Amino acid sequence: MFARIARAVHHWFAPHHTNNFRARLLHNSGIFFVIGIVIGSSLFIRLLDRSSLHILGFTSSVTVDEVLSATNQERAANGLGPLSLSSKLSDAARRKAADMFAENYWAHNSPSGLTPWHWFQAVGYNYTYAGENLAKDFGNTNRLMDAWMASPTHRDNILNTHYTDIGIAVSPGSLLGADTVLVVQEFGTTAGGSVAPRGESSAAPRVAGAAASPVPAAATPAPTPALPVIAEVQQTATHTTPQFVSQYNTFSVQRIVNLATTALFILALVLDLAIAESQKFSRRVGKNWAHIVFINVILLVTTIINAGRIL
Amino acid sequence: MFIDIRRYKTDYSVLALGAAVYVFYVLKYQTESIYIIIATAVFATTYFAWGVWHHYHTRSLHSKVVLEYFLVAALAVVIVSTLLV
Repeated sequence: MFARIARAVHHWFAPHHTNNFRARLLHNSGIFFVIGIVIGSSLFIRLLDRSSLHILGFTSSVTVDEVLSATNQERAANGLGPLSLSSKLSDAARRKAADMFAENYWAHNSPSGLTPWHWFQAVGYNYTYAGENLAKDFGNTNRLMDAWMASPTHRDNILNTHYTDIGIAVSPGSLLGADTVLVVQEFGTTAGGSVAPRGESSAAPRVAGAAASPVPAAATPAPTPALPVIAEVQQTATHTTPQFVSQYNTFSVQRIVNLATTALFILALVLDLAIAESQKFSRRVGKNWAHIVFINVILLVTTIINAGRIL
Repeated sequence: MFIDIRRYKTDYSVLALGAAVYVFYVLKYQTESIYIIIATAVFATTYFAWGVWHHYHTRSLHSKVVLEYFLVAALAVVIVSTLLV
């Protein structure tokens, strides 16, 4: 039994007279077989995900505390003070997430025309500066923060000196036909009650840093810097099965399969190269070193990319 | 084991440069699936062309070798796209 396994491994991974002095996995038919394995596993994983069994769902370890802590760490690293977690803004963030699920949209403005600033007003948060970040499909807070910090507009929101408060919602649900977890960050600075909420028309979302025209307060005198900075809304969501949160999701399982397949392919390339050079085989084949460099880059990229999306 | 790299320094430098540009692009647009898939397809096509060019000027080009580079390039596209599509 073991002898048969050893012979098979030798045949697939090492150059030998039985495989025409080229590891079987590196023959064109072998590479085609590897491609088939990756595509087949992908189809199988998707089938599991779509089955009523919910064997795979979307799991996310993102929490409000972690997002708050990571946000304030980024601010501290840039010499800025921490943001205070506001219950009103957190409520606004939860309402925004709930509306996205209810209206089934992945955008800053709702299909019914509600802007992000509507939710600030709905909870009675009178802002002079406001911003919103949204995201989806992130498995953990580190990757989420990395993505936001890599995006100039999202980064500007997190490092905006005008903000003093933050509200965060991490909400699982079903969006656009897929189980997901939305992460909503609402940033703001209150007018201390001296400024009435801005009208929606004047508080349209802008690119981070752009100023919106002030709207004179109805009953109270406008404060000196009456120029609300409306930072861009950013969204991030993550897949989560509402009924059942599994340990794995389709993305992480597919990543494991792809990494394992790629690693085996690289192993075959290295073994084939080492044995062929030591035994001085003369073959007309592709350059193993080039393949090793190329596939290693793909391996690296496979570890870099993530399922998360930001708008 | 490094004989081939030493012998064709320029060729491998071009390959390394292409790889560096690709990784930089992926890092910059790591949440943009479409951009990453397109970049991977471009990088894979470049790799295929690099293989053909390398074997052509080293006079070792053969239809089996061309197919091998094509399949390795296709494998890369499949690995990345099954994660992102």
